Amino acid sequence: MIHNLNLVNNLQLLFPINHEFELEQFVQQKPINAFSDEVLDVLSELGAFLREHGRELPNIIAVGFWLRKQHLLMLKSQYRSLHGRGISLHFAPGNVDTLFFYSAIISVVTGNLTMVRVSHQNHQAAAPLLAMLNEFVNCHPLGKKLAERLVIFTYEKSSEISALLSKFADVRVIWGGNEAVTAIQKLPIKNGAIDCSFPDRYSISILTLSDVSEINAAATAFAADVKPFFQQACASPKVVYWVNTAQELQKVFWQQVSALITKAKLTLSAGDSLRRYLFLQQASLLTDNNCAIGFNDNTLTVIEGDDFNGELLTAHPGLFIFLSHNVLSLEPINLLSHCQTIGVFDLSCNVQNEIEKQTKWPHRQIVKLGRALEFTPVWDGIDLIKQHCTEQV
Amino acid sequence: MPAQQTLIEAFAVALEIEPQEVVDSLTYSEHPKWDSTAHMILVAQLEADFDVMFEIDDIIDMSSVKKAKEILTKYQPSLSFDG
Amino acid sequence: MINSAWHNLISLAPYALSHEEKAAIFAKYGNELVKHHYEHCQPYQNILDFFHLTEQTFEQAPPLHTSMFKLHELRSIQQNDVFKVTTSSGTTGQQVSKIYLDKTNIARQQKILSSIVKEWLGNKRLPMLIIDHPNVIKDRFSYSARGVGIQGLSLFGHHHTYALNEDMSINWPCVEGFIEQYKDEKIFIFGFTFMVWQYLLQLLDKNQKRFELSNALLLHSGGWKKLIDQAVSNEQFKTTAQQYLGAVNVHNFYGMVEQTGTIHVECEQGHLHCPTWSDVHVVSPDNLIPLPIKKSGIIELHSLLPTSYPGHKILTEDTGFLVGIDDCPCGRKGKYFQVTGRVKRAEIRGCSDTQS
Ligand SMILES: [Zn+2]
Repeated sequence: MIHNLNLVNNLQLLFPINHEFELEQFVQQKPINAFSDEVLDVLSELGAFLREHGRELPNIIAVGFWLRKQHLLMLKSQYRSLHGRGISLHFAPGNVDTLFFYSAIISVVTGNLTMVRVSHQNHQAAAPLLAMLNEFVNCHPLGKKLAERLVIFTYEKSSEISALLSKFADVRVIWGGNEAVTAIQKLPIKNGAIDCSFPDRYSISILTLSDVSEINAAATAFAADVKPFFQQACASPKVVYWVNTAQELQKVFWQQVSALITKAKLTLSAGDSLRRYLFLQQASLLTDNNCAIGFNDNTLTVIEGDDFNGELLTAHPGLFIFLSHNVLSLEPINLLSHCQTIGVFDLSCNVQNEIEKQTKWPHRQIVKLGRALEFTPVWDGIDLIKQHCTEQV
Repeated sequence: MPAQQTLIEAFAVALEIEPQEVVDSLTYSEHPKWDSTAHMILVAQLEADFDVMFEIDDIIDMSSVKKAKEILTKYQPSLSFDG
Repeated sequence: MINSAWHNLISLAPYALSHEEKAAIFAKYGNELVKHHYEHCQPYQNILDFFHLTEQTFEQAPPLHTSMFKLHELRSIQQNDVFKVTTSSGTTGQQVSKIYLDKTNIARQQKILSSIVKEWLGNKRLPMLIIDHPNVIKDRFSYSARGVGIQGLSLFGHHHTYALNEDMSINWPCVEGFIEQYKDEKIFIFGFTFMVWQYLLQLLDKNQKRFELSNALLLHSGGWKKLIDQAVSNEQFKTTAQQYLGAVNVHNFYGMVEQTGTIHVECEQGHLHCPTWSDVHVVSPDNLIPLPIKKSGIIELHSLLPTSYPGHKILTEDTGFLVGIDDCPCGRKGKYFQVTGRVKRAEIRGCSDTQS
């Protein structure tokens, strides 16, 4: 095979910095067993390091929490003996502070050699975690072990470089949106290699409240699902289905959610505000069904409607706009094929049980309200650990 | 080290508070230092120090020092937090 | 019928009414205008109903985001009454605004534009040099914003001469011939700001050439963005124009394809003036509430002209501030303001950004 390896000179190495990255050498290394003691030691030490030094940054603490030894052992216990596939190549967004690393951890913990490309624009969001990872390599005795098997870089949008790297991949993990996924999927990978793609999705919440006393817990959980990334993450709910819930309770709920968002000081830029107005002005023109503003204050807007179609959801910019639909039972709920997460709040569990029985719904996962954005190795219906492994020989 | 002392140190380190503040009534989100971020550090610390693996629901339920003791005892019945 | 109101409005002087007098006119005709569009433009009715307006007044009507004209077909006339569709000059691949005009609206725009321009140019038509290439106005049915501007202003000139070739190089024989012929007369130069800067002034500089005009008026308009990127200020633009062209009065003007006709011309003091038929609000991005004088915000433009499409109240993506009301030292009445830039595009958060 002749590759234009000079292209590698265009990589901007983000981890480990101050090292020479030799692509040819890197890809000659061999995968090892998944969940090996050696790798678990490195990762749990890294977890402790992040928890110790990242206190000011909740999302980094969350990574550190994920990397605690007990959690890694728990994951290990869920799988039979497995072995890494080889080279795992990840295309991750640079504007999400930690996703690139969760993606990487799965492939490192399963014994693969891991290359991560974070997108070039706006990749500053990833900078704090990258800085701590580099710090770990510099000052922890086990740091070197991580640096041998993981490399993180960025480069300006270039299908040539992506194509070159893809030729080495045994597993390729592509985070969305749709255009990126389609473009990268076109680039050839090794024979027998596997693609794990995460195209655009939307998510919903199903809530049922019977009493004022339940509102506080519901609002807190809901706010946790929408605050990160200003409700723009795929897993953040855009549509809320109210099952048998009084308008008065809904109103108090929205007031509390609004207060929680305000408290988190999530201020919109002027550009965000304009995008928001545009969507609100468009909304009634994007659907044939009735829809109109329900609850509205300076922070969040609720659009009440009978049903919400794909066009409306595609145009939806997050930014704390919620499409609200009142139903008496689950029957009128019409989920679109790209529905990802259903967050449920139901203290009685009756509705929850009903939801779990919906075999025809296209959703990928059901979670308790408030946990939609927690990273799990089974994401969007794809078991990333299994995809990264072969049966042990 | 007695369990009580291990517990106090784990709380003090994780929440960055004085050991004297670690009393049964110390409650999640009522003490300014015990927020959701510190909670994750605390859980990791307790798991490491007591060599246990908590269920998700127990992580969520661990809302006071008193509760933490109850949960720990559930995993390790031999533990005693007297004195 | 809403159009009949124009018998009274059309003959008003552009800069003679105080803000208070204007407010009375806007209250009366503005409310009629909102009702007219509500009744004749179904999408507009849907939008107003969506926002639960308690009354259909000009004040309560939401200012339409300019992108609404790109994403939706907004017209208050029947399809077969559409005489012309003007489009904005979007860069390739971008969607363009579509503004639907009937004959009445075209004539009205032309008339108002002429009332305004005469204030600056005088009543006599002047020899006109256009800093563009002639093909920009080829298609009669679909004009670009550049085409609209040139077409609209051509009326005030004669012996129209296009200064550029289609490849944006200067048509030297043409330009030199024009200047030779009219060097002792008052001449009218018009072009888009960026075109004048990039393809005229910069090229004169590069070729070490300069003209010695004795009496010229340069009107220019359209997006400072490209010039801000090159760090060219309005002042610098003026001095450079005078350095390379000679005795020329330079006036910028601010206008939108969504409100053709009511342009906002910069006076001798460097202030953009609202003519009688338009109003400007500088609003807070957080809640669209108008901000006081000198406070920076988003520019919202009002116009009494549009009856064939609901463009009477629009929310631009430009930022600026009001300088004052009724008291500009130049003596013109009404609001005057400055445009400072463009709102930064909204950031994309979340996972859909892996390719960039
Ligand atoms: Zn003035």
